Amino acid sequence: MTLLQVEDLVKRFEGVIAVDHVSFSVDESEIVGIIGPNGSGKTTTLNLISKLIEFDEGEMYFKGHSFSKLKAHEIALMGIGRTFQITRLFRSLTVLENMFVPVIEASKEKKHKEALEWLNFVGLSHLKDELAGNLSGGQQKLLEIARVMVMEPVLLLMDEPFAGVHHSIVSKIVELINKLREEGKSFLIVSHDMHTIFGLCDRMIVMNEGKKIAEGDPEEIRRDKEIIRVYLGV
Amino acid sequence: MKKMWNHSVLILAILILLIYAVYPVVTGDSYLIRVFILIHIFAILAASMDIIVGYTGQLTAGHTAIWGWGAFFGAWSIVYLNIPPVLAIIIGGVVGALLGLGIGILCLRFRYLLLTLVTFAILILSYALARQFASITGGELGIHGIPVLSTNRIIVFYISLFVLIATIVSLKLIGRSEIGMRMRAIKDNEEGAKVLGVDVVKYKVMASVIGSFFAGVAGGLYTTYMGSVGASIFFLDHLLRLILMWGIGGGGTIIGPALGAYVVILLGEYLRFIEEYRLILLGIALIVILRVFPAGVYGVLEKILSYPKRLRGDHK
Repeated sequence: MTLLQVEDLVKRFEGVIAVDHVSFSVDESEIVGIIGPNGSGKTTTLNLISKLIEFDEGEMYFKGHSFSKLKAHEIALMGIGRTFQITRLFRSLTVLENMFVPVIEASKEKKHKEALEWLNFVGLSHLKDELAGNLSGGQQKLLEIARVMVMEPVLLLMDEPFAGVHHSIVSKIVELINKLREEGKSFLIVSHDMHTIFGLCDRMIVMNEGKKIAEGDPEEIRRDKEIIRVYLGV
Repeated sequence: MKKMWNHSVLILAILILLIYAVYPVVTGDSYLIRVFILIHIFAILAASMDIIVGYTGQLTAGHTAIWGWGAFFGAWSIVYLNIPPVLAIIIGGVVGALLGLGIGILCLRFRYLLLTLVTFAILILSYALARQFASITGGELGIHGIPVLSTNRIIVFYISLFVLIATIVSLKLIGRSEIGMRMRAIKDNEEGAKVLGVDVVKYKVMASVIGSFFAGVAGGLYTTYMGSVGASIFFLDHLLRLILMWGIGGGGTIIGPALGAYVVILLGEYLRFIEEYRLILLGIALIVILRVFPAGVYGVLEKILSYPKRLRGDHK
């Protein structure tokens, strides 16, 4: 069943078309990757879906319902989670306090228990009283993932989850994504880490200069001549 | 061990507060009592600004404007409606909260320096309005002869101290709650908060309403203590002092800016002999303190009090 449906999405920045009539969908329990050169509109697409920026044209549906008019926090509450390339942690809050910021309906005890469980899951429970700003880059990525998981998102939009982290943490994140997918969660992942993303995704979308230039399973994408041209410039 | 230490600090704080509370009765030093009452009022103002600036990161320069209107509405309610001065303080708070709501909504579009400029414009506008409508505000000369809370300064000392403690306790409780945590999250990273379902608009306006309520209360308290209020309440001088209190005391801690009020006003009183150079000196003090102790007086106290704990290696 289709979970997220994006139709003819357009975003212009002072004349430059950052996202140019892009359409795609993400199904339940599916991992979809978006790849493309720098400036191809990948992050902007994620920002449009999570409504951190407003789009100019198009329509978006989640479980069949349009959410084009919703605000960023309402989209999060609806079940679309988000992580960033440069983590958006609350640096002056402790690791545990960061886990309490998500808006969820639960008792204090339950929130505490779940926060600790997730911290334990990503291996950060021993740092729970440390300020988030003092964590290493990789640990910050893990905290951002743990933090959004408290909200139990159905779909997680991840921007460069593997960038700038140690390979042991990359495998940890991959393992986590696979495990969550087995539990029925879906992912839309932007990444430059070709090796990891090709191994992880069910389906890939390739963007260039704001347009979607290809879509298919990793094998099809690997063989696509247009993609080779875009990436290698030949 | 940690709990025991926290208890010791709490007992120490209560002891200091008790000594401070009986001081005016014991000494009857009317000059110092007057200074302390003024400190209480400014401490309420500084602590209330902290929930807007220190917690939510909205750099407002209009907090003394809300204080001023709280004072005016308090005065008008006494003069025109014969309301008892104690109730006028609450009216000041309600007016403050309503203004906080309006300004909070108005300023949602602005961030950082732009927000500071817009709120500063509100302060300037308030001054202009108060001068323009002198028939009801008294203009520069102000409204005089407003019935006061009490002619007995010791009673006013206790009332203002009670309001100060109530303000700090309420703001601290809010600050430590989930609401406070989300406000701090917004200050750290607005986008990060949004994607976790935090309605940034709601929390920013909420901070503005809460902070402004207590600013209005401070205004009502000021007018019912002084027995007068005029356009000069919107003078830039008050805002500058407030910023000094906030910075020197240690923003983002509620208690810090309140302590800053003690430092700034007491220094100001004891440095009277250097007259207008006082503000210059306080300005330099702010720069030095922020350079050496970025967490302000509160940060220094916290460090001193946690020293024995650190010696034992009893980290949190």
